[in-house]
Amino acid sequence: MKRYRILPTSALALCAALALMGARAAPAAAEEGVTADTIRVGMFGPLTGPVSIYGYPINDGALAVYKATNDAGGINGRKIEVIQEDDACDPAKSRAAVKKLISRDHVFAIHGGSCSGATFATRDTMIDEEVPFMVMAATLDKISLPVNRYVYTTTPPGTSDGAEIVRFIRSMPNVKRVGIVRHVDEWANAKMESINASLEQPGLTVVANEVLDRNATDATTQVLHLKAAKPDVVIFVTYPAEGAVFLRDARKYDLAGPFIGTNGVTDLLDLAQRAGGLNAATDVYATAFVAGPVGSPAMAASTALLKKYYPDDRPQSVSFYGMSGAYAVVDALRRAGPNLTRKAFLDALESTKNLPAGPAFCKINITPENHQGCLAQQMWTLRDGKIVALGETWSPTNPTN
Amino acid sequence: MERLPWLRRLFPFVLILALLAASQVMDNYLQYIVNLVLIYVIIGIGLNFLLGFAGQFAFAHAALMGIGAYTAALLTTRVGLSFWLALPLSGVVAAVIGAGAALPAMRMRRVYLALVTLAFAQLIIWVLINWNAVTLGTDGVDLRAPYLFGWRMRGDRNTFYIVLPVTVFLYWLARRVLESHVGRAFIAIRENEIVARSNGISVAWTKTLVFALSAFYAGIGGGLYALALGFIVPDSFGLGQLTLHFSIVVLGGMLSLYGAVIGAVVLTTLPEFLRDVQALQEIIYGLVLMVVILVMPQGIVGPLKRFGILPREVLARNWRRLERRG
Amino acid sequence: MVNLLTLLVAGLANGSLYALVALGLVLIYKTQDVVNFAHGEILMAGAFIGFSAYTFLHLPYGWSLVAAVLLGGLLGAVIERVAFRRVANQHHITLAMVTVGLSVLMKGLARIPFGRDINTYPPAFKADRVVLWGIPISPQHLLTIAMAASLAVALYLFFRFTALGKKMRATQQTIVGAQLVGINTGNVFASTWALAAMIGAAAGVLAAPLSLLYPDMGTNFLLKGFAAAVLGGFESVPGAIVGGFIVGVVEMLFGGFVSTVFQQVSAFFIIILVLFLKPDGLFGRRALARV
Repeated sequence: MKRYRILPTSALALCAALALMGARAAPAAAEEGVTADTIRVGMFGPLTGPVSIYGYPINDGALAVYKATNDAGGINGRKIEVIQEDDACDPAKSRAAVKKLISRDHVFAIHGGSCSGATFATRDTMIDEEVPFMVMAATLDKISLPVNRYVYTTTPPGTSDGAEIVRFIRSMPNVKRVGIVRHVDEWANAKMESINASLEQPGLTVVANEVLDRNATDATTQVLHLKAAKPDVVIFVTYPAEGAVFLRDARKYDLAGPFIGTNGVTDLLDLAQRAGGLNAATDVYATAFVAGPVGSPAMAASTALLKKYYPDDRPQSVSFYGMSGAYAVVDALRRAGPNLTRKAFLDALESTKNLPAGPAFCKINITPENHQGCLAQQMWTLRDGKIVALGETWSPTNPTN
Repeated sequence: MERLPWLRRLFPFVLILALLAASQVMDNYLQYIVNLVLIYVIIGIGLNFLLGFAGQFAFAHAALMGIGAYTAALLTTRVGLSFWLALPLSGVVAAVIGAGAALPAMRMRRVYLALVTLAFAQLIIWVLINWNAVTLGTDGVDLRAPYLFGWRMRGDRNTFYIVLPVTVFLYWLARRVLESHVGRAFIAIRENEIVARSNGISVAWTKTLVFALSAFYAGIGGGLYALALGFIVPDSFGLGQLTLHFSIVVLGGMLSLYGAVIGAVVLTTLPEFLRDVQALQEIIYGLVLMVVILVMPQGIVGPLKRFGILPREVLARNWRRLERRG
Repeated sequence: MVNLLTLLVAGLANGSLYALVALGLVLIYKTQDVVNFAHGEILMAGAFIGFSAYTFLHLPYGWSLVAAVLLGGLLGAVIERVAFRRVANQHHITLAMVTVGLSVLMKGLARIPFGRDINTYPPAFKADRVVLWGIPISPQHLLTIAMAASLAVALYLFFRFTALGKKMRATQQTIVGAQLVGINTGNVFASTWALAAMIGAAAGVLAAPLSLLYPDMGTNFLLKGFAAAVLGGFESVPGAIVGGFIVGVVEMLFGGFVSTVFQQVSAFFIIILVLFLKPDGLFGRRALARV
């Protein structure tokens, strides 16, 4: 009988442990996460698992902006303190991360979320807990729409990326038949939603609509179907690796472009290299959210900033996806004044006007009616081994062939 | 059955009271994790029926959890059914589909059963992704907090008040089933189907029952998971989820109900403890899994029972190598 | 609409990779009764070893392949010795879970040096493609097909004529019996793992130019290899090869003639169908029920 005495003891110990873990004194500050000399900002993103390949570069870009702000003296005498958590691109984990940031770390605001599903899963928590939330790089429209007082984004949502693609195609001469190859996930579906809607209008017809699975290593059937359908232009809504596989097989089976990609394949030089060389990526276009190709004068300042704080990161477009949001947050914190409250911060965010977005192509504009701060993009292509910006539409001064 | 000392009989109540008391001081983060732990206890018990007690090497548990989650979410959000009806239905729908997975188990050896159930699971996820009209595809489904007598049970603590009683009930039910002749039949078909048959046990019926029961637990767990998350996507129920389920059962202990509890506690909280070492998280997780299994092949409950910290369970027996290839 | 021959050739090319993955799974399963869920990561490890040898050590292409295969084999033997020897008599589910832990661990380790980027593995030949009888095919695919075929022959000869091969076959039939006649089964286990890992590493080096290099590249190949192995009976070397080709071709036919929506799951669809008709796979022997 003696050996069972351990059971109630362990129950009591468990109870005490839970109580200890739970009972943490909240800081005695006037506003959560704000002290005399710090502002605590939470950040989350995929730092483990397959998607961590993008998680670190994106978050590092935003972190570099915050660090630079601190090194320049901070905001109204306060330094920004960032607490970074992992969401592994999983809704269950992103909720845990956000709940921890809010109830353990007592952050003032949260800037994070690069996976669409995982980020959307945190929306209701942010709203319930009334925490200002700047979305990092997730593009699902319903994260920031309908407009909510607490949720903002400066990354173009998926539908606007899709719309930009169709706008570009419509500006090309002699294009009537459109072929599509796409993933089936929330990222691709958001883009497809606006692509499908715009293609239903007269002038263009979809002649082939093919699915390419994530992690696909072969695109033979997709390419053959497209080739048989004789499209004038092919839209590919895929991630970089799969995009490279598609272009490689397109060349193998003599499927001619032009190929129009999303801002997921903005780094056209990387795409070409992965597809087997520059001649695999002739006549390839992609929408771009950043102001210029990595290495161009437009990106020099941002690249230097990233290099200063993260010398080991290889600068690529995603390295700059988090920066625009960080600039919006910093700007709003500054304008909210020394007497920082969440209300003042949200009011400041909602009155963001023509704010330069660092490496992003757009100017950030946020109003109480519109929380998607950055919608403008441009189209890029490859010419003679270099990325060339074409503007928003196809123009005869930039002939393709 | 041996007479239990009063302390032991009291233990479950002490634990429940401790959890209830702790929930009064827990913050949302801890409460959310505790909810997930309880949900994984249900799921672990369900998989333990199949994998541990009945010895069926089946890989559809995560997909069945997904079916439960989608049933609960779609019935409440899109059909407008009350959550209190949708939750049991999520168990029932999963059980019906899960019983279908018993069909291949009638005639296939374990590797084939493993792959057929895995293929079945992949097809289910594929349907969840591609059947947009019903499942909303990869956009995912919301599940709003249910009402109880006109009072909205919003937030993690209220979710806990739903999850805890369900977990306690299902734990109790599992114990009753395993101590009954049904539970002995499960073990009999694991040990030797032919001996089981010659003892008058209907192998077909018992297998169908254990697959359905296991899927029922997965379905209820899925329904509660949808409630705790408030939003589900098909990807949540893929190979990662399945790996977690198997890890819970094997790490905790395959022939034990305590095992499911311990496995759920350890594997749900481990990533939270590893938050500060993000880059090493997978490495540590993988190492823990390997080392624990190598050192304690019978799971964590093995040594705990040997040293008398946990009582012997009525049905538990030491694992031995039960089958070699025929 | 779509050329059947082109699809068949592409299917065989992909299938040869699945066949190589299936071979590694089958060898370990035959000997130790373990379903090796870390086999995809062995493939990944092989690819990264070859990649490092080629890019960082500037070894010639052929030698980097040799390095990948040898180090892959060493890795397999070490895994067996460190992780599996001590639990070899435990329940098969326990053993399978050890491989699951290993798979998570290996992905985590690979992420430290290689987790920040998608790397490119140069193909063995400069030419993008050759056209044979009007069907375009990449030389990399030809190499893979040739490799799978020659490995199948080599394995047949190995099991038939070498002493180690015979010991392996004896151990596969009965472990106790093999021990009774004086075979060091520990060595046999280690060499089996080494052999399986060598084939896995070779598959990785061959797959990497087609799939790109990243720590999670193995998962998809494992699933397809698993399907191929089961289709072939899971205990048969020729079965694994044929199973691999079937999975590859079925995918292409589904994608080509039904819809690309179905392509990824078509292999699983076929598996369910085949196993319902023939519960022991196409090449498996019916297990005897012993009373």
